[in-house]
Amino acid sequence: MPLKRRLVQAGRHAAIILFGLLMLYPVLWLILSSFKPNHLIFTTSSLIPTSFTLDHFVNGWKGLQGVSFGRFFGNSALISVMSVLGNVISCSLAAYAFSRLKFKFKGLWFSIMLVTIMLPYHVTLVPQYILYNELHWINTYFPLILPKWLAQDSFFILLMVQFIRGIPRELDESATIDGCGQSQIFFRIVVPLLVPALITTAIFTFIWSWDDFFSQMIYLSKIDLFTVQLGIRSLFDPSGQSDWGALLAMSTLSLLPVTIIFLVFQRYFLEGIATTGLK
Amino acid sequence: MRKLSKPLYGQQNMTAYLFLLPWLIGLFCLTLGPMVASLYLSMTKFNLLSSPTWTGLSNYVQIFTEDDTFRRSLGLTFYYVFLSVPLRLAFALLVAMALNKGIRGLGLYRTVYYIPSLLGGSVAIAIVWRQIFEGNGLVNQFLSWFGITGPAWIAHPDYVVYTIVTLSVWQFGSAMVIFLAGLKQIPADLYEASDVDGAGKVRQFFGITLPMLSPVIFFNLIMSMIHSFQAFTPAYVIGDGRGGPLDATMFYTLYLYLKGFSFFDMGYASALAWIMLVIIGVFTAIVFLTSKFWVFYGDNQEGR
Amino acid sequence: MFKRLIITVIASLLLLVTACSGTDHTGADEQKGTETTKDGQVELRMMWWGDQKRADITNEALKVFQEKHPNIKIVGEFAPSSGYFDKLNTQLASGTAPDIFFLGGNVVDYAKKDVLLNLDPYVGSELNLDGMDATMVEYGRLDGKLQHISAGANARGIVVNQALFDQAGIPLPASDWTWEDYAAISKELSDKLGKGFYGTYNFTVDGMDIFLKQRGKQLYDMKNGTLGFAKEDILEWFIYWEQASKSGGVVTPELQVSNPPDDTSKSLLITGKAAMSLLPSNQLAAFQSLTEDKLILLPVPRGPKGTGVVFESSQGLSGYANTKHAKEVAILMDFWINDPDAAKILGNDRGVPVTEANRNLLQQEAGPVEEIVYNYTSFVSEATKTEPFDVSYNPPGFAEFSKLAQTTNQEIGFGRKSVEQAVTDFYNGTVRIFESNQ
Repeated sequence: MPLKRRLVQAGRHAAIILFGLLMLYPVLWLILSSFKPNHLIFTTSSLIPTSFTLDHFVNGWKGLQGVSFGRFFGNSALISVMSVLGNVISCSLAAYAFSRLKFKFKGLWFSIMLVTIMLPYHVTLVPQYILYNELHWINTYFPLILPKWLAQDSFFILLMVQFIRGIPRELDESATIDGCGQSQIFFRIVVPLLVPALITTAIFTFIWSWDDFFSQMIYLSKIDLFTVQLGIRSLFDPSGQSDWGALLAMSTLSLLPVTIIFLVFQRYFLEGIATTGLK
Repeated sequence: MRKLSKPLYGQQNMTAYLFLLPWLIGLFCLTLGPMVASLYLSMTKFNLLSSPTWTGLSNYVQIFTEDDTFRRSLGLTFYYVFLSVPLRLAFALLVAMALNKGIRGLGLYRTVYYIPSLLGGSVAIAIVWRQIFEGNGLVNQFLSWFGITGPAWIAHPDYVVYTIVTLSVWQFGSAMVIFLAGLKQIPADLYEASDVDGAGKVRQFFGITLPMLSPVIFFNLIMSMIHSFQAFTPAYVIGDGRGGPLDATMFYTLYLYLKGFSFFDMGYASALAWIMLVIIGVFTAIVFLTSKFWVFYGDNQEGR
Repeated sequence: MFKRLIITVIASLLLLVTACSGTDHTGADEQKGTETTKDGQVELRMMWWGDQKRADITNEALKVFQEKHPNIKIVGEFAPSSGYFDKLNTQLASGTAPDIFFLGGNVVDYAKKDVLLNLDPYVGSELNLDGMDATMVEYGRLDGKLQHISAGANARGIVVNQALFDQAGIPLPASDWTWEDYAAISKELSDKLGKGFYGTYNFTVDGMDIFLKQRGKQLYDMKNGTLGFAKEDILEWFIYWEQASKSGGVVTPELQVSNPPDDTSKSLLITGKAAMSLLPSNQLAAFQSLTEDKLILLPVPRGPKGTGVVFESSQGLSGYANTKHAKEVAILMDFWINDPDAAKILGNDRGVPVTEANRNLLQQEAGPVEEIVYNYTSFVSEATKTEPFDVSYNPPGFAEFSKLAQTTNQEIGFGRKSVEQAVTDFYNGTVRIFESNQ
């Protein structure tokens, strides 16, 4: 009964689309409301703005105390890019050692690395803060970036280890015969083949560091060091008058970089997550 | 011809440790060192402005005997984890199964459902969430179409946790993607064979799908659980930043933050951190140990 | 073989160092806290709490200051009051505090931590306190050292939405009303106005000190450095509010959370759903500007010893003990309280000016709302001549204490604990917080 099947198919499609719209409703509301004038944002429930304004983007961009959101975006970008570089470099180095090299205590270090993936950050938070305090690194970006350069996001080490294990050892062997040492094998053979995992690492690192509100809040209090997340939080004043339009407009913009990266690199994203889950 | 300076087989200690150097430095300076330090601090009173004073186990004693907020916070966090994680995984699995039937436009749907996971961790979304759950916000307006008067979600201590649970479940997309990949890996002939035997959908689900997916479920479960125990941003933004009302948004991490950075009792905060570490360790160990009984790695091999 | 590896490591480190020197500049700045360039240019960091409106007037005043003192540049920061003290505490702990910042009654906490600048050396030269009332000056003297300069004075009163009273057909209360009257009137308002309308906000927490003073006690006994009350003293207050809530007329606990009384964007007083609340006099103008309903200030209901209200410092300026520019900090403080241009810009937003000269200046240009405030504060000043009360300081550990008080109030309001149990726990908690903050 092809008709019945088609109806079922159509029904299924409809359900999925409806559910999808429902899922996206908060995001759509956020984006579309940033184009509504302030007094209409909470009073009308329809998504589409009846009167359209770009004022909020202009006002919101002005930022706080003379520091514009452009500065905040720049700061967030700097932190994220430096974090990406750090993770990509340090985690790939460690992953290569774990997956390809034989060394004493390898099992011990690997187990420790696995455990640190599951370690909650509470237990290192306070001493790290004190450590950075002693070094006078509060109100700098060091506390946010340094852990990435020291491969402390061990999740990515594991990701890359799994990936490298899938690279045939014959390539290593033929390179050795040609006279390459371990580090040359790393740079010439492994790294080029590791690129998909590096991209996955880069993407996730970017997003997680962009959204890392907690660390940013603890370590940054000078306004011209603020990130986008801190900027948005500051626009939101529960005991005063928030300029909701500006808040929503800047929030919309804050979601853009992450969304663009996702759309461009979708393949790596979804395949990357799948790989981690399956191994 | 270059001399081979290192054997390919056999020990490659120097090279390996050089490659591991950044991670090792990080491990000792940023992880192990601080862990030991925080254990020490948990037995002191320390407000960052003067040196720590040794207090022995009194922080722990106070936590377990006098601290109502600790109890409430722990209970709340547990409630949140054990409610949101299974719900999130259940949704993820259901939707993954629905999408796995070979629908056109799979890629698009997958993207749409993934977007909440992508954006959900940001302050912006948390703020939006707070607004839509207000007394006369979108959620209650929606409910009023059905004649239901919703409570003041974010103002009532009994209900505010559900807004945060909803936010977490909304982000099921990342788990869904993993399930989709896992589902694809289940050989179709397993289902065909069971069809021939006359098995219904339900039987197939419990007999084929779940066991074949169990490693993936295991992974998702562990990662989700650990992640949820540490939730902070939603609690901070949707609540009043102080765990209110009535400690109903006092997630454990928020309480730790308040004790350490607001009330300036870093020793107490360290004690709280170690207690959470032990708890998460215990639960992770439980999931690992019981995995022998329910995680099925294929090739007719049970257990690990 | 190793070469490649070492080159990579070195390259990475170089990248790291370059990036760090990009941020290093900022890092070095933070350590110094301020900068002094060759031509004697001084930069001060200043922090205050408040909303955008207060930020605007503060920035304007700072602009005028910088015009008059071209060698001093001020970098201003502000935070909403809910996050302000967290931020300040973090900065103090890491040695990166602003040079000058606002504090309220919790100045005690900061004096105890030895983080405030001693202003005595500058009095008479950079900092002229002659125009300031002696008691105001003394408010800032803690442990024998002058560490705080009041920047505005206020008195707490009952803000009344007169339009609602008219609507309900109830006459305005007399100025010597009692707490029984208060509860009764609240109930009457609620009954007459109908569902969704409330007579009063629940100010168990904010009114605690006033209630205690009316009985000869207080929250914190500054002179002796002890708690100023026992459990029995405060139990009555909690019982009063529990009964008033039961009989009707008080804002519900949920609404109290979702529409806090001090949030000008949500207050039920402004939306015309609640008729009365406890309010510091300096906030009347901000509230009135957001509603068409007429708002007035009435004296607080009387207790055995009087109203318990004093005309006192609402908030003030303190300097950071480790500032590199103490002299300039003193100059800025002097400008803040003495300069007539500053007074005109700042108005009464943080309270009435603390020098008589500026008070008179503003009074000449006072509009109707300011008149109400002036009349009220004068009334309080007069009243304290016959019924004097101590000025209020917050007890040490105030952040934790106020959270405990609020939680206790909610426990009772949401029916989680009986009043007796809640107050017992509250008092034990208060003692513990007090002792751990000595």
